[in-house]
Amino acid sequence: MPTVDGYAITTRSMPRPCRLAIATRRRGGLTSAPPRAEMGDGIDYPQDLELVRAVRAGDPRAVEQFVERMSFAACALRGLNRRLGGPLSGEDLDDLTQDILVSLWPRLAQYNGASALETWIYGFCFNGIMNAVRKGRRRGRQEPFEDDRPARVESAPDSEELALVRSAMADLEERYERVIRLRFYEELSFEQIGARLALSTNTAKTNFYRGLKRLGELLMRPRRGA
Amino acid sequence: MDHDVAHEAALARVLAGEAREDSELLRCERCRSELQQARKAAALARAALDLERSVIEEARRTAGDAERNDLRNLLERGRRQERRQRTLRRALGLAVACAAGLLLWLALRPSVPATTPQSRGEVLLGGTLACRVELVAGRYDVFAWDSIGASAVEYRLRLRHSEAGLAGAEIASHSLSEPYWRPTPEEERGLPEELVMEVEAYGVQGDLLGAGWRLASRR
Repeated sequence: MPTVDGYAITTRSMPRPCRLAIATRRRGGLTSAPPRAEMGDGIDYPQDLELVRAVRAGDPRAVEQFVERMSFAACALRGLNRRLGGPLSGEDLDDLTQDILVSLWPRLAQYNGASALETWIYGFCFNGIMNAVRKGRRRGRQEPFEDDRPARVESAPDSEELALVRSAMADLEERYERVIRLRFYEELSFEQIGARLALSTNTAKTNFYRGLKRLGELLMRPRRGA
Repeated sequence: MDHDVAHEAALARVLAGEAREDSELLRCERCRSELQQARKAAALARAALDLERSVIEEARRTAGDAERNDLRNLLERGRRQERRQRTLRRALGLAVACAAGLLLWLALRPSVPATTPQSRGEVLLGGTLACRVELVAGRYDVFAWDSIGASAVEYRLRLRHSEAGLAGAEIASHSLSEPYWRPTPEEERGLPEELVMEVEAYGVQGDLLGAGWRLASRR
């Protein structure tokens, strides 16, 4: 397990090419997180949980490592806003960035290691932008002119569809959500997913199928306020 | 056509990218519908996760010292704020606990079983001196009270008839330097069956430091 200043780091904290190189080297082990059977219930990222606990305890080395890993949050908000068609103005985006970063400390107490820190914080960024967009809509704020928006691929899902699928994935049973995430986010094969989660390859495939089926059902459920 | 376990397995293989949907599978209406729904879900999930990955990777490349400093400062601010709130909560908790304790004591005080002269209400004058009378073989042995310490240079004991309480006729009066009086057998015989003892404590300047009284009885 690679370490930085004594803290074990997951390959997720590395650029993707590094992760893939490590994954390729570790035939069988393949990925950063230990197989599910070795871990406590619901804690897929024990190193991240350990890091957060050390940060909350005021360990300066842990704080530095955390800052190094999480400083992407402000840039992620800007990137998300751009990719979602620029729904927030520069000022609104600055306010949102400040709000999210300020709320990060109290939220650390709720982090349970079920997802990587990056994913966890990305969730706040995505939900923060979507909430700000919806709030703006309720106030009847003028959306930017179509011509001012960055071009979006016509077939790509819009921000509401993305929000819907993220919400549906959050409601999925853990065993299904994990397999889908490992397949699409980390682009692992079913053999690799099985090794990561201590499952047989066939079970990984079955969980993937059942997860997608369940996700389809969740996406079909009536929307709140619809 | 019945949708069965074999169809489920075939759907799993198709969605895993290991097989193409064959004509038999497509003849099953449920398979067609499930496949369509699952493929749509897969496309959306892939899009959402692709976006997440690419946004994080790009952000990681672009984050610099400014972002790190901002985050460091905000974390420190959050930590200070949490510490302040924790201290405040503790102080508030302590205050509430003290108030609750006081209220409880006030509420229970009258119902505490009478075990001391004070609790029986036998010392009333300012409640500063607790008086007691010890009997031996049905006789008054000692009249005693709380010592005030070095600040009291004189105790004045008055014994009165009990009918009118503190306004009763005086039977005897003694000026004492110790916080007790032991009557001689002769003095004891001269005391009534029931009496009121009244004590006052005086300081160097003749100032009244405390007082108390109680009803005493040989019976």
